[in-house]
Amino acid sequence: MTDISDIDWNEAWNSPGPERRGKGEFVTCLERWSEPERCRKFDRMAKADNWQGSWNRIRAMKITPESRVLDIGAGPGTLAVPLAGIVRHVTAVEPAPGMADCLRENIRQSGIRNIDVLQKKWEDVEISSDIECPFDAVVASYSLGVPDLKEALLKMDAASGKYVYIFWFADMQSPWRRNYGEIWEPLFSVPARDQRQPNIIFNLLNQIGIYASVEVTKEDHISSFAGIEEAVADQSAGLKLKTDEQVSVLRDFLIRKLQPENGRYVLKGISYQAKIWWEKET
Amino acid sequence: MNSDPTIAPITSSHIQAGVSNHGTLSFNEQWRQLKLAHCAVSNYGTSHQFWGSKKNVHSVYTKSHGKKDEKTRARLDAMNIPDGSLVLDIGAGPGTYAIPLAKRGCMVTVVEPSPVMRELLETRMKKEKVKNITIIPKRWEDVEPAELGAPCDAIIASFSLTMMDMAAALTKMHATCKGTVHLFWFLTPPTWAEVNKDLWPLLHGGSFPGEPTADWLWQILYEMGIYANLQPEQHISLPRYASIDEAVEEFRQRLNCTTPAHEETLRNYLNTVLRRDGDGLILGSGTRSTHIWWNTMDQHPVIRP
Repeated sequence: MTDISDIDWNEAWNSPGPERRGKGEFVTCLERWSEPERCRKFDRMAKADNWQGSWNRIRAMKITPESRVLDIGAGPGTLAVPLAGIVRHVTAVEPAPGMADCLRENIRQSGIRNIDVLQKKWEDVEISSDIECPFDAVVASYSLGVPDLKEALLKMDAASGKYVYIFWFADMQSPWRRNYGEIWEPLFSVPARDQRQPNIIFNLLNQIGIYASVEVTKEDHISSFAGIEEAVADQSAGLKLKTDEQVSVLRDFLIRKLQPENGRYVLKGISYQAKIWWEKET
Repeated sequence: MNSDPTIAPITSSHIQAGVSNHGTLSFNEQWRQLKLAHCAVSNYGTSHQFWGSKKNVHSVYTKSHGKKDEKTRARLDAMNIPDGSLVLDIGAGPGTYAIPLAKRGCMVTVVEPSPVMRELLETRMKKEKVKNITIIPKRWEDVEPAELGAPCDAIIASFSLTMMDMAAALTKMHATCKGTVHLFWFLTPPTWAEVNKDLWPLLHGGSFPGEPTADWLWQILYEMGIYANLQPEQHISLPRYASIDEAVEEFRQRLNCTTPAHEETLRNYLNTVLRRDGDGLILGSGTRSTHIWWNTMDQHPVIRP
């Protein structure tokens, strides 16, 4: 019987997990966001309805108009841009050129003056010289695709004077993986039993003595399509399917899952989002 | 935590290879193994035996009421159970939550296997003139769903998670509740477990396994497909004694001291580790506890065979 306290959770984070598609193919966070068009599409979605999707997370953090916030993996400014309007200052760390370009463009277009952009990987940031610590809140929202999670978490803790917030999938699965779980094995040849990962962030934090809180929110996702073929094309692109066989598996699945609603077809899914956070002990 | 030196440390490939398939990495199984290890410790007895002794119950439960009331109030606030709710209190003890909740109009069903605890509870019920508490004199593991009646609005299991098969116990809780399940447990090992770890080898030989902690509990829920909230409590609990004799009395019971030599070892140990704090003595570095809760209507656990 293996002793769980022997596990190196940091090493587990680093290794290709259930998100891998096919043998040996592991996509890092940075690689995932290296295509400018992909970043632009994400940017459009993120800022829809005045950054509608960001406010839940912003409200979930203890910030004031005096706060200085560090946003790690800021993307096109998903949190940074709306935050800038209500806090004193935001430092946004974003290594992907495509994303950093969108972020700078969003800053320019909104006339924001209190965001600094640092185009670097978090693992390469020197907290004593590149940024001005301590921050009132340090946040990493769906951005912890780093090679050394332990180092990243400890650095976040060091950079903060008060709060650290991590937003991540409660079940360690992207919505793609969760909603297509049924057909993941036929699509990508990853056996079902290999697909459940323990919550590494949680275990690692406890292992290093950071007793963080966890708050889980259930979210409903609805995508709507004009017809089955539009759904197949859209979802196939998101899943990065390559073969006709995969598309066929997808089509059969969607035919079962799509529900007619008001003349269109909707795909409903749920996901569990976690806010993992702690306040530094003074 | 004791680790078996004959087993190689787990690597990421183990994690990839089989979370619940081979049972190689399962927090539920780890919990079970640790509880089994307790059974293997000679002379230790079970929690049933411990809480079956009037002396033990009274010594642990009837001191320092003030602090206890504060903690109880804080936990009741954290749970925020509406007045008039249907509540199931598992391991209710002397009615720590059952009584105040019943006073607020809740219909409380209590599951309590210790006759000494039940006696204390009934006495308090008479004193507080509280009637809407039903008592099931059994361990949670032995309760049949049919005995519980309609699904409840809230379940409380506060420091009563002594079950060996935790996933089974939690599954039963989830199935009988149409509302929120509240668990309170140790995030860091309780002081008495640390003392037991230090002294058991000296008194009885062999090692004393540690107590499973709440991070395992959260992960057991996670393995079941329940993504629960977790909030560590602010208050760090530090056992306090009026005198070394009081401390000796408590640990004499816990450590099963039967000879004068045992008592001398215990007394010497306590003399070294107890620290003066104002007009009392404190022990250890403090225990952090945590509140874990989830709404059963939002979560759909996978029941694994």
